[in-house]
Amino acid sequence: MDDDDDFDFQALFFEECHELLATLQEHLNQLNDGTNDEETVHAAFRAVHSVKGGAAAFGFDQLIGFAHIFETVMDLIRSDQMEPTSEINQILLRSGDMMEVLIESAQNDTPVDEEKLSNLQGELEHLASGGAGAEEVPETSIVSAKSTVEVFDTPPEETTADDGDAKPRSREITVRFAPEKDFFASGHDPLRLIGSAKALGLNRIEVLGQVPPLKDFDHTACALTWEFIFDTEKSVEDLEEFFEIYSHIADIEFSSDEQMDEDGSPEDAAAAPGAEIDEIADSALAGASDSSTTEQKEPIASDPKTAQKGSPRVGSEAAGGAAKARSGPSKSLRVELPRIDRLVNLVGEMLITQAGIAQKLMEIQATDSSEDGMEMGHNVEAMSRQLRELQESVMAIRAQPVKSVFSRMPRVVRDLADKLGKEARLELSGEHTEVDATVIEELSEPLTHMLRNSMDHGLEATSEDRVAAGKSRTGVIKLSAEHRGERVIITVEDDGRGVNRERVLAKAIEAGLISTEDSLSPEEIDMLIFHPGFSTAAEVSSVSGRGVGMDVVKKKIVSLGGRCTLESTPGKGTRFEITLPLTLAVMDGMTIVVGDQKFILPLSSVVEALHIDKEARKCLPSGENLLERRGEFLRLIDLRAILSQPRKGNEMDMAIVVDTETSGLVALIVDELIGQRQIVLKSLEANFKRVEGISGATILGDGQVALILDVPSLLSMNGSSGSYSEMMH
Amino acid sequence: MTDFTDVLENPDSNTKKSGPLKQYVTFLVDDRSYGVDINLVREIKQWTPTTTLPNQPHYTRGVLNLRGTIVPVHDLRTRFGGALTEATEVHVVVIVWIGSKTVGILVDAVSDIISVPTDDIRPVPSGQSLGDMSSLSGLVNTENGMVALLDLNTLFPVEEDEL
Amino acid sequence: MSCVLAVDDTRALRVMLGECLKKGGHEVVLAVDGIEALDKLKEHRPDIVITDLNMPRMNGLDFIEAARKEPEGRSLPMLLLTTETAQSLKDRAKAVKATGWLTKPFDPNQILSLVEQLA
Repeated sequence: MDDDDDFDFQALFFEECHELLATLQEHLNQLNDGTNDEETVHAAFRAVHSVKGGAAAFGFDQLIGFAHIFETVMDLIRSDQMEPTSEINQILLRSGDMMEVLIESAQNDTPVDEEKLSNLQGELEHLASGGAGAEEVPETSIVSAKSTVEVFDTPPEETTADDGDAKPRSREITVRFAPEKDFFASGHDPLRLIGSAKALGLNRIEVLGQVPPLKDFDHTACALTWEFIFDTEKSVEDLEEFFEIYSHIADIEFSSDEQMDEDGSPEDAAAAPGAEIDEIADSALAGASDSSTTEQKEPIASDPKTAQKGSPRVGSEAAGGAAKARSGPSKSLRVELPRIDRLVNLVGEMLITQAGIAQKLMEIQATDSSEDGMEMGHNVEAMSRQLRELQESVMAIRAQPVKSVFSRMPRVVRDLADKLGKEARLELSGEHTEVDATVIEELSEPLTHMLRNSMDHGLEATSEDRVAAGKSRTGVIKLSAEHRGERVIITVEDDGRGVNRERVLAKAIEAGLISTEDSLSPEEIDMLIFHPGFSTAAEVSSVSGRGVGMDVVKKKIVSLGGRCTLESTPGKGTRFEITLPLTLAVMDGMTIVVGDQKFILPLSSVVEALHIDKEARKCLPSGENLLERRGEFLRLIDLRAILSQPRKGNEMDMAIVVDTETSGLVALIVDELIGQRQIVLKSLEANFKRVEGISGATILGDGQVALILDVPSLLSMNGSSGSYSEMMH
Repeated sequence: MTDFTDVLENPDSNTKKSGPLKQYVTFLVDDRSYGVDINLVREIKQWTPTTTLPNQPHYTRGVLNLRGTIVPVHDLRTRFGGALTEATEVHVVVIVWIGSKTVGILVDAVSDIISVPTDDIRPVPSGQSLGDMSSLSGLVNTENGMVALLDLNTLFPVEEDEL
Repeated sequence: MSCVLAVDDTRALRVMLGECLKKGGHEVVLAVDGIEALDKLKEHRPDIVITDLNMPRMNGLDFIEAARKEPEGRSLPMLLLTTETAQSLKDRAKAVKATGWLTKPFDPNQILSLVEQLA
């Protein structure tokens, strides 16, 4: 295998390492939080173990060494030989962090704090020896572990049995091979052994054992002993290596002719001169071999179906060119977001195109009712369904649990606790809450900032201060996520001292953000910390830095279409709440045309579309229009007036009946109905503000922005629309 | 698009040495020159039709799609009391930061990037009927005439959500 | 040429093992754990299995034990490939009738030789 290949595998290994690390840290955190079930411990153990396995394959000694002792400790916990106390859990958490450092070091050659490493390694070793008690700790031979079975120096093909005779410095080595009764049952095939041994210079085979009497004959058991006589240039060691793989299942003795002069092996004396090996092989096996061993294999080899079934899969794995290493069958696949976005957009465009075809077809069918048209209609319908399914599938790819971001946070808190000399614990909840992938990506930075703020400013300066305030020494920061309606709420809550309003006020006055005359409510003072350039730390802290504070968080959240609020109780703690709309979540919408523009109505509110008969239109003395629908009167609202759209020449004769939820059904006059589609919601508030009657926007296939109508608020606008219209026209 | 990209790449073309320098992107509306702090300018793009919003001030031309985010566009001429700009593809939208928000400003053309010593920035005279003077943060005399520096926060106030 | 079923939950190792075997001219079927391996065993009827020991859902030992009960696995060579060296685990491996035991780091040539030797 050449270096290039190694390099590719390494990249893959590191990529996987990061996933393993996330798993490890997640489970270590759970362990730390008191979840000491088997699955948690096992998962953490496996993650360490997998990293070690990979590290061993690539020879990252430092990582192997550390992972090994780490694994040993995890194994003790796994086998209930050690109780994960909170002290031990802290060591494990730090070990998880160290693994991350070591992996990074292996990957990028970044420096490792050797002292920290050796201290931690020492702590783990201490645990391993102490925790295990008198019992023997598993041998730690991994670091220097060599393959149990060495490579053959020369390819086996070069030294065939026939050649062996001709070589000058060959010697005779006898191998007495007494398989245990499970030899066949363990998947060994003596024919295979003999075939491979021939390549090493196997010359003769003697059969020493005896077939038991028929009544005792167990066809699955191996009752024979063979003596393999090699005439070979290989050393005894070489042959030992060859036979190593059988060592657990057979009693194997080696003797060479040089040794035999001294030992005078009696078995050898009894050995008859060899015949041709193939014949011997057959006769040596006769009667003893499990007949199924050979029979079973034949259908495998000769069944073309099996062979064909297997090959395309293998072929496709190899087909990916440079990326082939990634294309193996795996549980997950990493895809860059822009690629998914491209898909989302394309599917959206396809839906529009499809809608166009469907509409055209309807027009054609109106004049031509041939069967071809019908058939095509069915096809278009099927395509529409498939497209929607496709779109749903694509959208589903984007949703991810916030766990991927949350799991990084405990480390942030631990690092900060170290740096600040504070005791703190992070509690996570709602990690499985799903958020759009783009939001997830952007969440890490503001969350880190918020945690820093809580650690630095939220928690009391020292544990003693906390004790004095009647609190536990360890500060608790809670990070949680939950869905609330169409939004995701993420909170960061600490049990610290609360916002120091006097200081905030002083600072804000000093910075000229407010004047001394301004009288602010406590809540308003609290909110000042979101002001750009505001930093309450008395001196510039290396943790929060100057001005890189909550304003950055706010900016980020707002740019994601979210909101940031803060609740603080002096002496009790501070709670930050981020409210994120599922901005990129999808919605089923109906595209309509009003005046010059396309708008979207949430499909969930649409009851039906109908043509307006002149007779069905009524007018109240107040000037309000009504529409009679199956004996019922609905308010009839002209969207063109409300949405400040120009009146087109054509007669308004199309209405859409919507359910406002609060005020029953209303009919909206529209110019045109384009059709249904799934849309990606975009926020207007991110860069502008809330616009009455509009809940958001989306981007159409042609890149144009279409506004999403907020039906309940449209209704409240209706009252003022008259005066507004007059003003405009 | 025109030569202003070239200008953007050579921002030091108008450097005068006296005191700390601030750079401004200048643009034209009705042959009058306005300037915006270069740090607040995100990008400059050609006019494309916007999607209009209901019940907004006259000068708010609607929203456009800026690589997937929705950005409002305001008409600077209208904001200063002029008529609606009959925008064509030679018109330019300057995308700026106002607070944490991204906002587009419709102007006739972008003209230059100037470096101005802070000492040279003159206060806006008060009490004159020159229109909405509070939306200007200062005046600068350059070789090519006077540039009015815009105070974007006053000109197009944005709601910093729920503060 | 043999059909080799390679089982490892660590993707990098699984793929590396697979590539190594393919270079040796073998057909390769990959599985991520014992459960999947059992399915693949029945579907592809490999000539030899190389499996990791520690895996989620079903580990290498349990997989071999289960596979030995299947007609496709009864006399199949099944090698364990692992970093473990503890004798107790080796004893268990023998008890479930593993064909042999290989310690990581593996050498590609060694793997290929063993496949020749056993399959």
